[in-house]
Amino acid sequence: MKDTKGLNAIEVKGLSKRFGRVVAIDGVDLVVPAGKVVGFLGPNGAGKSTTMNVLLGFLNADAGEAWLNGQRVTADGCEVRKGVGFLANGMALDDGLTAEQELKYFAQLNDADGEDDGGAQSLEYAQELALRFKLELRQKVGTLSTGNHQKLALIIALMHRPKTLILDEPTNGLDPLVQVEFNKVIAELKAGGATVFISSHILSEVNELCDEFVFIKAGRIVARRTRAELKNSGGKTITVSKPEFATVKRLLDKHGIKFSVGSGSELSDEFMQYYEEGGR
Amino acid sequence: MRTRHGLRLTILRKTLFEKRWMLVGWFVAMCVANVLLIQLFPPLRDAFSGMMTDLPESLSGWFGDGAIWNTIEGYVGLEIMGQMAAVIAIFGIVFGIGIFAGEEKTGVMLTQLARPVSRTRYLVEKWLALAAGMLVVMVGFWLGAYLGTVILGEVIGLGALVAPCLAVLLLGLAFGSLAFGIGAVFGRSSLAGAVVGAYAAAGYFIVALRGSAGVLEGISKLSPFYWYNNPAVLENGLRLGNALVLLGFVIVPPVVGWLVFRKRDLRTR
Repeated sequence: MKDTKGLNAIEVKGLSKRFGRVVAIDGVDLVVPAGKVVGFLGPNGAGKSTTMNVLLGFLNADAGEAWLNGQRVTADGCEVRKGVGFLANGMALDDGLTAEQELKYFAQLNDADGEDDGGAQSLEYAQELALRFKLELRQKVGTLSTGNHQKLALIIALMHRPKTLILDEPTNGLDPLVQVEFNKVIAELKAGGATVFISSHILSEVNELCDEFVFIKAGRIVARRTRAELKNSGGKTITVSKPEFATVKRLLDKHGIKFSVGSGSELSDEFMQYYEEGGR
Repeated sequence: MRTRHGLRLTILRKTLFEKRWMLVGWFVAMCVANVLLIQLFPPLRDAFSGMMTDLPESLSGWFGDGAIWNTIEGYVGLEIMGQMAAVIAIFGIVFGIGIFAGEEKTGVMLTQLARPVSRTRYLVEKWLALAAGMLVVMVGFWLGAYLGTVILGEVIGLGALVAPCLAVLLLGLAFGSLAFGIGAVFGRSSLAGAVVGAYAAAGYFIVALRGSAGVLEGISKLSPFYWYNNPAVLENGLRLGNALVLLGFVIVPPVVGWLVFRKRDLRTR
């Protein structure tokens, strides 16, 4: 099989991974076209983080293959990660360094080819992001609050302006103001041609950011919807106030009209369809 | 590791920077401990030299015989190069686990390997950091041994201490590399600590007491302690054959660790 693929930022075929008896992902096929922002949605334990860890080469797939920016992912390969920014859920950093020292270190690691003068451009952008996210860089990592730790982790993932961003729960612990700023940064990166693959439990957040949504359940991809498809998939929406609810339901049932209760958000309604007990 | 700007060893430098206070602490501790222990030579000589003359051979390996307690070389060889060397081995184990399996346990390794860093580069630079850290602590050990004899007025030359200190370095690195290698294979710091700690403790006692039972003689060769100070390294110098065996203990575990680590699943918590 060829080792490079063209236009897709992320491509996986038949990816499976077990941990002992537990099947974490089972035959996952996924394509994320370059330049798109794609949300990766599913409940806890659905296989989102495992998929991402296989994509980064941290875990070996039991079956299937993965490509990032056209390069095949392998455990010891580092070329593939040059154009990738990754944020793990609860990303760990050295507590003994200051935020500034961490950024300098990662700027140097990012400059694998020595093309960035020891990471000078990465560091410059990191400092700009720190200002925008209101992160104090002189503080030691071990003393940062959860939110500030997450800001630092985000900056490390973004600082080299990667072609492809893989973000696992990126806004955990961020205050609403920083979330707004984060959304702006993602929009800027997208405008610059970057691809973003983002998992989150905060549906309103992905709803705002993403062009497409991939739903995973029990290790299998169960649906993929574009924003336009979501708009059209909900059928006719009517708003019924609570006192009238039972009456309306009875009338619709009488005429055999399918009836479902929604939250007013197409994404939330779609999510609940897949993940409610007995969902499709 | 290497760019068009040359060898940067970013991971090695960062590891040493992060562990700087630990290394400074061990440097000072080893230096001061050796200075103080050497000051105990005159009263211990007076107390033990007579007592030890009739010690059975099986116990003289542990306590030293009478002749050893009569000279500063004998005392330094037994107390400093014998027993304090075991402390260096403990440092090697702690450091070897901390900088590799410890980072995998906390997740810090994963954050670094998400960057364009190959697992091979990561492992090599981490092992070089282990070796460099050991070297720093050994300089403190060496200085302490020298200063102790100077303060006491019974000087053993700096040069005469080089070979035994090199042997101690190899001993510490052997245990450090084993802990490092087991961490690289299994990704479990507690497992590496338990296995290497038990192996080191058992080896130390078996080598010290091997004269008391024939069966221990053969088993003792499985421990770096046997090859390190057999015969007494301060008096006889470091034998090439022994040094090569110790070097084998130093090299093999990280190589085995690398062969497994470059392909295995990482701990993703």
